[in-house]
Amino acid sequence: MVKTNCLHKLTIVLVIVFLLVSFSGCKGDTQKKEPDQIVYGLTLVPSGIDPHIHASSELGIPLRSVYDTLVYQDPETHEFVSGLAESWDISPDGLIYTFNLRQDVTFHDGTPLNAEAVRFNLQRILDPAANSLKAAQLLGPVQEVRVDSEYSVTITLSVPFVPLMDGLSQPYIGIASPKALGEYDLETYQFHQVGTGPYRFVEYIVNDRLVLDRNDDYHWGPSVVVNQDVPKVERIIFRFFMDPASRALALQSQDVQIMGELLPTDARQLSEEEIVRLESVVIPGQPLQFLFNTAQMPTSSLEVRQALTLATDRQAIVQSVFQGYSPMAHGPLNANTLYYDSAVEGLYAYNPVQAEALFNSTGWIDSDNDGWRDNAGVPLEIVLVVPPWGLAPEVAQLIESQWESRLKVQVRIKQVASFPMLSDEAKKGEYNAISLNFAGLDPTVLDSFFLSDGSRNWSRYTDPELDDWLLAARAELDPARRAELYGLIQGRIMEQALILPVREYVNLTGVQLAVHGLHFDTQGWYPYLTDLELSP
Amino acid sequence: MQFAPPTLEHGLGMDQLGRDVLSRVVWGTRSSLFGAALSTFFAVGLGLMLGGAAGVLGGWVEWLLMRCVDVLLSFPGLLLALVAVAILGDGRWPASVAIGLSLTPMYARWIRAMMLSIRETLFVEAVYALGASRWRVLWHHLLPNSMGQIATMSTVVYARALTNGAALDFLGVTGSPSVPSWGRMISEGRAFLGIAPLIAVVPGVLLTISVISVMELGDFWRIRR
Repeated sequence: MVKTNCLHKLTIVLVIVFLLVSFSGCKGDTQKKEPDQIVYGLTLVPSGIDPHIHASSELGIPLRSVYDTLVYQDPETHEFVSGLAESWDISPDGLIYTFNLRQDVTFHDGTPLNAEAVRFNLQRILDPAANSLKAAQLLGPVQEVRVDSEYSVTITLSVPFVPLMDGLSQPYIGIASPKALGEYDLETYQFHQVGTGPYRFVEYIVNDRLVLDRNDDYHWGPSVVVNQDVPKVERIIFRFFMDPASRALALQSQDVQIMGELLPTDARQLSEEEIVRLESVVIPGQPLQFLFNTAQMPTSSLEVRQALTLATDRQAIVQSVFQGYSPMAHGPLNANTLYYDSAVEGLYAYNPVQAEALFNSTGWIDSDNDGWRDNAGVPLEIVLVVPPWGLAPEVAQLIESQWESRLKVQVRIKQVASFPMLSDEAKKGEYNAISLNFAGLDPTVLDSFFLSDGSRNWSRYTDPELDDWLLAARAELDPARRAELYGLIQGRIMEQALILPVREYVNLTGVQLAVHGLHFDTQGWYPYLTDLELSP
Repeated sequence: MQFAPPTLEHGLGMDQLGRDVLSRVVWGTRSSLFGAALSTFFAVGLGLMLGGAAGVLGGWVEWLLMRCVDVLLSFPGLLLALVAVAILGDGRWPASVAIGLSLTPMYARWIRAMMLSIRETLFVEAVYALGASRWRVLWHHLLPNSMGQIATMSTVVYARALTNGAALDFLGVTGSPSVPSWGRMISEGRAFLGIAPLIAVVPGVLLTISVISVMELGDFWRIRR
């Protein structure tokens, strides 16, 4: 009896202790303030996020604020302003760039920024072992990077390369801590990035989240941002929303505060209901486009390429897939790209009658009356390869129905799941058109696509004259002559119908009404996170 | 035009690209039902061969075949199908074969279990005692006596093939996005549930009805026998 009583008491004591512990736990939770944080929705998981190595536009969205660049570019005037470099000097022949660095900058790991750090970064990008997909192209023909003194570094080019400053202002050439770069190798650095920017890289878990915390020592912001000191928002968490249908739902449920690339139908609905503010940014660079394969029958024929372009009702595509949010594209560059030539407008205005006549002139007609054009009895087939992003599959389906009904030519769409798979298809070359576009304010973004030996010459087009123009244009110091050359280049690309431009790339970003200060850099994709604020 | 509500001309309205939903559902029905039939044909054929051989021959053949089947069974069927699609290439028919492959191990095990139970019955022993060969026993006694169960099991496989096929379509690994199928319509239509629910709901309901009907058919056969 005594024993049972003891057990009862013990039970009661234990229950009380348990309750006390759990209540105190609750109290602790309520007292601890939730950090000021913003959840930012990204729309695809890049195949890698080392800015020096990988090329995805998505990686710059968080990393723009992890790194500072040597210079920044004013979004309105396109003037370069000082970043990590306080001042710079460019030799009259455009070959020697000397940068004088700020002396009060430290990396997130406490090491100081100096000329050697800049040299180390540029060497890392230029090292062939890094296999840089974008940063090395932005650097162009850099021959030598030399440390002049503790805070002065000189870059020497083998030939003039005008877009160098533009490249140096992009997050792909963000200056990372040499200590961290040395600690990790080319594969693992992307998970342990260390820069000088307003936000510190905390962790990146592929497919799940990327977390940035503010840098409490920051006071060297460029003049292009409003807040040049420590950012207001403590923590920014990036999450991935690869399924377009989930993006608007996440905004509505307040799971995210900022979400890029909304479906146009959702964007319309959300903005009408005044749940979110819509920021639509036209991204300079290439439009959503299909590159015709000039090495594959039947798009090897110029007439066929022209006919396909003329038979595409791009206005209808823009209206239905993009709900009119996106301007129709006319040429290889979006209208807000430098040296855009408006002469391409109207070159291929929708004209199904002319398209049919052109196609008939190639001799590929419906010889066996089965409703499809054929080549000696075998139906002609146009193969379109599309990536899953940017609503390219939807666009391809509309193009398919337009070409099939107007040109009587069979179309097969092959959708791939990722950028590496798209590159594989491009290497195989068994397509008639493939969709890919790069962003960039400077028209040198065209180089890798249209130089005969360009790494993304997926049109498989060789034209020595076009090569000469492209190489001359990027070395041309005189803006007027440069504009003239890029006019010729854009004209040639459209004359030869190397691409089917569809729409200018517009990023539809939804922002909760409580979030203020979202603005993007000159390249359009990359936000200056340091200016974000949350109203209570 | 886009998301147009149902009219007399377009019975289920139009989808996100201005296409007639009803005709896409009809074409989707064809590809979904035929695809599942092909998968079932494949799974039943291969399963009968493997399970039958194991059940009749016994010994080391049975051991070897069943260990292979066990290895395949230790992967989730859908994962197996995804791997098979990656090897066979995308497209409706490779996907159907892939699903057939992924359903084969389950089916082979059933067949073997059934064969084992019939193998041990008295009448089979009697036939052996009369001097019949293994093949005679298989063709004249084992198979005819298990036809009913094989048919019932096949309906279960068909139902699984329907749902797994829809899952692959939903994931978009079965070829061109413009070829309609139920799974793909559900996948695309769910972005527009608020504006035009019919795009996703109709194929979803049809999928459910088909699976239930096929299972009922199997039950009907079993009871009738």
